[in-house]
Amino acid sequence: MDSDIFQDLFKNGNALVVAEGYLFEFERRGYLRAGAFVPEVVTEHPELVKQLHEEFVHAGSDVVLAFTYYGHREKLRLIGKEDQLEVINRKALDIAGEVARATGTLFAGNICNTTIYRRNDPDTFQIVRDMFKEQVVWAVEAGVDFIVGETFGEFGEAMIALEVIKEFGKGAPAVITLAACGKDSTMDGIPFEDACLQLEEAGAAVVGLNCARGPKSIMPLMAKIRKTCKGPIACLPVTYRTNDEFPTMQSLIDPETKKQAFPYNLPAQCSSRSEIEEFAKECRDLGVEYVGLCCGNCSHYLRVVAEIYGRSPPASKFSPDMTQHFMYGDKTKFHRYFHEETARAFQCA
Amino acid sequence: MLQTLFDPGFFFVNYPFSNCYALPKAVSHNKFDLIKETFILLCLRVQFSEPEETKSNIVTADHLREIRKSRNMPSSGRFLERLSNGQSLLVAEGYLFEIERRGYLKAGAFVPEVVLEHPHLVKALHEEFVHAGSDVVLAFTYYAHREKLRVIGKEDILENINRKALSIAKEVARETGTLFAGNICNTTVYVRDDEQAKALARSMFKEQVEWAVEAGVDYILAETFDEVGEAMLALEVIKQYGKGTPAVVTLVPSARDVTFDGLSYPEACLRLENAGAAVVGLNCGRGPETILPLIAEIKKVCKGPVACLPVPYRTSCQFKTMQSLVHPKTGEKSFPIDLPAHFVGRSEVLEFGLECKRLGVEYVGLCCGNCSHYMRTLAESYGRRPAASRFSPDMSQHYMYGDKAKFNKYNTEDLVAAKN
Repeated sequence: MDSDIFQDLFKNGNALVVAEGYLFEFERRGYLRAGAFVPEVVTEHPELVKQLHEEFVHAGSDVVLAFTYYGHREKLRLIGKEDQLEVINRKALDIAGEVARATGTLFAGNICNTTIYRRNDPDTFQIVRDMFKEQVVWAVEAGVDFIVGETFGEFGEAMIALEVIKEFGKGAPAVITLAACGKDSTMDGIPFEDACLQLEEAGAAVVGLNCARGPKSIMPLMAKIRKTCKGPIACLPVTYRTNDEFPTMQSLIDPETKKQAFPYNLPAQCSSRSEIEEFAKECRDLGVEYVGLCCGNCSHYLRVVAEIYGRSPPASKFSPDMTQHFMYGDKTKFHRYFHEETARAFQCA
Repeated sequence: MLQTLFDPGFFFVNYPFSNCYALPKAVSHNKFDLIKETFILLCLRVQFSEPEETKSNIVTADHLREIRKSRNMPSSGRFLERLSNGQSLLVAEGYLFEIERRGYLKAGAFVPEVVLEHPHLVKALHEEFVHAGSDVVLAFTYYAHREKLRVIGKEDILENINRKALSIAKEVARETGTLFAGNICNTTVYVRDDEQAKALARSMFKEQVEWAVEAGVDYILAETFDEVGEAMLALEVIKQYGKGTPAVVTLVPSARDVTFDGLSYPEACLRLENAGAAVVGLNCGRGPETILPLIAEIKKVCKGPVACLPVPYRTSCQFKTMQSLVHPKTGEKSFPIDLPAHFVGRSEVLEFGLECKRLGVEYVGLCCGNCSHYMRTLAESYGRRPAASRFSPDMSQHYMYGDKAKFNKYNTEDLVAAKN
């Protein structure tokens, strides 16, 4: 797909709803190790990766994102599996492509923060470039519709990613998103709205933020980005309760243990669905064209976002209908034994 | 020789059993048990010594089929033997909520239509839970009873859905060498002092019990009863129509310390135990913090195995049940849609597991809200090492929070500071 077609997608108020969060969801399901966070599950249980893609589409994702996040050379070197680099990438792309075609959704490649970029060490720039290049080339060979370059803490690395996509992407549009740390500027000192504008002007089809920040703490930055950028903007927070005091999921302190919640105790900081609904409404009203959820995402959250964006995905068939609950439902349908007496017993001692 | 066999290292690395978790150290009370246990271990060790190059922490399904064939026991025997050897059972529940979370089941009625609509997803979840440490594959027939199906206008699929759920669960149990359990539950029609309602509840139990027995379950779980009356009725039906299949009967504790029909939970459990339930206890309703005090009391009173399966939500003295939780910002009832905001952290599941172990809870698990990472944590607290333990966190490998010797301070210090 070329940039023009991609841009046309966003005209007339169209938006893309994008499910991310594969790493955390597989970690939660017991098939991926927190720490290194490498998607070995792609080759160990490809059928499960396929199922999760399908589940996310079922819940309203317009995009099937190939599971190559942290499937890059540095992460594989870390776990002693650099030899599997190409196999993992090609397999991930293969699975995603198959689901995208079967469901009529968009097929996206995925490159991300390398974890070795250092702004003051130009020797790292070439390594980073090469890492991006190999993953971009495989993505293009697999026939992706666009490429996501994401979770960059600094503008410098994001720009290299964009350049590589432009050079080797054979016209595949680039969606570039930064990970907003606790400050209002990137780690290399550029306010996020300016960084996004520069990326937009350098040719990114969509720019914005993903990861790190939760629904509450990501929005103030998005408002600034909306004012500055002219084209489509992206917003994919983590689904945890960040706030002014703890703006990122990494900064959250667990109230029970008083220690860093990341990652083991993040479940105790999950957003409620109502909060996700509020978030989606704010994005919609702000005019965010590329909306989704990052780490912590799962289908029930994504469905909420899709529904707020006016969709009715297959999973909407299973959206809650509490009128049918025997204790809290339609009182004309159920015996008061349950909706009064039993309900009361569960309410208070 | 005996020492080697009971060496913890041996248990954790080499013991081939159901996707490689270790049985906890056998609590043998007499020489005969010890010899029997040793004999079994020896047979398995001899049968399953692997050449060095294939030795790994993960055992394949082929090995498990071999184990099963070698044991060749009647199904109820396997269940009761497990418990009588002082072993514990880890049981994953929470299918309704997990499938609802995945977008394939409607909150409200909470009926597992997914069994017929996407059986492969149910199978995958069974496998995932076993992978995470469950010793039991629980057939997904919770709320697949006549009344719930009537509510959604699908009474005609009653038999299909039950037989299909049992079939899927059986397949996974056989493949993984785990126990296969049937499941009946609160009918939502039972009304104390209403003979017609009771008769209806009885017939509902009967049909599900019969299908479970025909499918060849190892035991039947009857759960989530608010009152002893309904639980007792379920137990009677299992005794009458279960053809000797053992019954596990658990009540759902409300916010009060008595059942809906006014008995204390210890007394209620004792009655069920005396009436013939193989395991008694509590499931659902309360979270780890508020269920444990009741379990401690039950443990004092009951002689046989006790079950504890809380919901993994942060209940407290003020909000004892998941149904009573309110959203911290809006003050509105969180159940069910906003329950994600009340999850426990994994540390709390670990603490819960250790406390259950200390109390001697023999049948432990998690109910609504359960998922694999919690299940694995619980299994590990009981000294197991399921297949999913291979993926337990190792934060030393995190590029920001990990081993500082491995990663650049650019990440371990500068980036860390930026994220705070």
